[in-house]
Amino acid sequence: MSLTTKVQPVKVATHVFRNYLNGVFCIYKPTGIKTGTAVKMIEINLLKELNKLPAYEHEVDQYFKERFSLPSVSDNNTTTVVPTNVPQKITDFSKHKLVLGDMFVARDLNLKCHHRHRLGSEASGVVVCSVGRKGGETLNMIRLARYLRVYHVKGRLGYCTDNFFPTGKFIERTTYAHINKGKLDKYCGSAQSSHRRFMFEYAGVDSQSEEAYELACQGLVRPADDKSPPMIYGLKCIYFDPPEFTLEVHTINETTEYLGNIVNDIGLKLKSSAVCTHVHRLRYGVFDLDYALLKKEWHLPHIVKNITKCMAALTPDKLLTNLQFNTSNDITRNNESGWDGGRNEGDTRRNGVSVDDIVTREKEKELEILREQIKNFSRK
Amino acid sequence: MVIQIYMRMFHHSLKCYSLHQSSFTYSTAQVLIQQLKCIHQSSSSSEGTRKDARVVNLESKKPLKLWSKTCKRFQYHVQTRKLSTGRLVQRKDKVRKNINVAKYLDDFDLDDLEGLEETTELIPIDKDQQTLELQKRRKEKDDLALASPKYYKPKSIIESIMEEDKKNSENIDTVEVSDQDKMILAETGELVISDVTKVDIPPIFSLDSIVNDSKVLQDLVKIGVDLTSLQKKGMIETVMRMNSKKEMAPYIFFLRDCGVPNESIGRLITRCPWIFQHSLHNLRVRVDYLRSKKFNIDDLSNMLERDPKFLLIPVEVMDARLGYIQKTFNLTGVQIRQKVSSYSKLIIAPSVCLQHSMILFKKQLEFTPEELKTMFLIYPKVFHTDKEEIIRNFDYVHNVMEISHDLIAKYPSILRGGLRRIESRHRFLLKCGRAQYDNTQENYISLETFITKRDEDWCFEVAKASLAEYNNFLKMI
Repeated sequence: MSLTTKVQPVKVATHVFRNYLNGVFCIYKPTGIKTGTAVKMIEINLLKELNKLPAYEHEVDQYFKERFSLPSVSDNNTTTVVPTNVPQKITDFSKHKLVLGDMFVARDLNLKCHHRHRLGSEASGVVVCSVGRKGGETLNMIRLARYLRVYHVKGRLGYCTDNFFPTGKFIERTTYAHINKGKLDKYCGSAQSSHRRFMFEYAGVDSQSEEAYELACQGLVRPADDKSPPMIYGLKCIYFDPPEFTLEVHTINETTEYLGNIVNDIGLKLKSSAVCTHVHRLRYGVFDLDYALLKKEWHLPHIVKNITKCMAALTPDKLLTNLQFNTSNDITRNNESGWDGGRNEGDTRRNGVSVDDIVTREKEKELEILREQIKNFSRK
Repeated sequence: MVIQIYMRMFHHSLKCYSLHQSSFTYSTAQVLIQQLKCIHQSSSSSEGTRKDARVVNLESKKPLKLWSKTCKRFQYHVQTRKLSTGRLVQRKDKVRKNINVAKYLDDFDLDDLEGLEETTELIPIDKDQQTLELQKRRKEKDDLALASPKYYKPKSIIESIMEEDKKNSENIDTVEVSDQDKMILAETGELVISDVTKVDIPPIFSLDSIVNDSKVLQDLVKIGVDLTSLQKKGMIETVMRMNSKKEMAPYIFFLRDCGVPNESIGRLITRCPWIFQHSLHNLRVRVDYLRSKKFNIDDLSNMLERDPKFLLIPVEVMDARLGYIQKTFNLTGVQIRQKVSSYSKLIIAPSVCLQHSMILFKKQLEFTPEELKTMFLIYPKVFHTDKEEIIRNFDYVHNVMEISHDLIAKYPSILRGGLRRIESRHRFLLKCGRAQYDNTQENYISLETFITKRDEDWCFEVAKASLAEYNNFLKMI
């Protein structure tokens, strides 16, 4: 009789809920359903599986009894113990599961998905969701980081609809024999360059100033707000076999409708018409397709694994993409408003301290605070 | 002076009452409206109370202004009065802010009230008798409300005390009543205690405060009934009034006689608590009818465990539905018994459902009657699915995958359920070059593999690729 008991994690509902269901996870949203319905499906699944686990006192007692009273030979079977429907001896009826009902309701889970980063029903790809209070805060941090998103947008020349997608109302049919890949590339390049002009404008910086230079040195120049109009960083044609073509788009602050609109514009500029047949989000900042969970994996064990994986990926460096820029910009604005506008140049050196020193000090202070916050989040 | 009062009912019909009165003030009108309101509330629950009333002076033909504010006040007044007489527990819908009724009573002229009772009479047009009947009914209802208290306390305790009192009163002439018993008597309205005032009990949302006192609920929990689901289905009040030994036990014995094992009785009651509303005699008749049609005990117990709602349906309807099914598909007795015992929704669902889906399958999708029969014998659930779901799935399977009617009729469960699984598998097979659904040619893939097999087995056996490959493909769609 050899005791070959594996040390399993305790499968009690409250334990799982407190320790494991608190963070960010990724899903792969398929076409045909909206993001809201996908989140609701996950909510239903999670609630069902959480409430199956032993939660109340009598259930937990029974669970431990059954688990440790088993003979050692059959311990290798890792069957999940479902509490039987018929209880044996009840001391207090007022704390029984059959009287009080399920322990967790939808409000406890606090599932969230920010509405700016959702996908339409025509699109498919990576969507970031959050569970719990800590998860909601990290989701907010991700929103502030303004990650770059990469799309593959498929289009089809020849006809167009009022919706930009094939589901809409049919408007016209056109010819596309005169289009070749050179013309398409030409338009893509012009669109990309015209967007680059707005890059500094959306960031809130004058393009001729030194600030703009420093910003450009740091890396990608991101828009200041979450609410700015959509910004395209890269647009090129990967595949061209008329009538079908695919585009690779790098953007921030976009919507699926806007991507459909781009395809429609391309069709009009090339003296034809086009419809967006498929939108596919490959990457959301840090999160690749490898992180995303398929629809068959939208269950509790998979989600718990994915949360640990995603929270490990969110290191402080990756969350602090443009926060430096954001804080510095705010401080300069505040200082300008604090002093009188006319004396601004004369008062730059008060008490032998330059404005830049004050700015850098405060910048460092705020950064330290932010880093501590992020470290607290990433701790398990 | 002639005044007409228009009453608007819930279904937007107007009722008109004309009044003859010498002097008219706002307060008198208010009282009149209130009286009419009471009549309508008591008279017909199906019609519902009217939303607002309207008073028109016929001489000037202008509606008098006493609307929104005053009406609301009197609604409150009526409710509070009702509560003080009969009902101790408020419903959830009627929870409102506390209002001092005395305030609004002071607004009346008491003289007008007294005068009204003596002199004024309501003279509805063409309907004298009806109002009298309504008033009678209202009185009866008030009496009933006094007689039958609706408490959330178990009835058994009160009843037992009352019975004991009666027994004692027969033997002994004078009985000393304790304070607790006095309170119970005061609640029923038999005793009047001067110092004590009634307090409305707030509504209860969970049963945990009651369960330890009532024996019925304890017994139900011991069997394994989920009380929260009974609460959702609105059956908890009827169950609480029952006596567990006298009234509840026969039902449970009846179920056990039908062949239901002890463990699943609780689950059966949670699924279908409406059994208690029907009498035991009726239930026995329904089961006996099925036994007369040569259903085994195993069949019955199987049906009861899967879907016990067929006990609620009367025998005549059950017979008509079984007859309709047998006629439409030309089935033998054995076949019908097999299908019904495995899928008892055939009795539960109305036959109109089946009729509509038959029209869909015959005329829109063009199946032959023989194919329909094979479909019914293999998978009868298809005839109870959503119309749009069937059309969507059929459109993809028939037009995109190019599968004939004969093959679909052999595997009808492909028409029910989500399309995404079928679509993704078909596209993966196309990518591998294995999408070959002809019976006659080699490398044939049957439709059954689309439905029954799990992804891991399916990838290995049918598509002959690894699971990671398939998952990567799913992420590119």
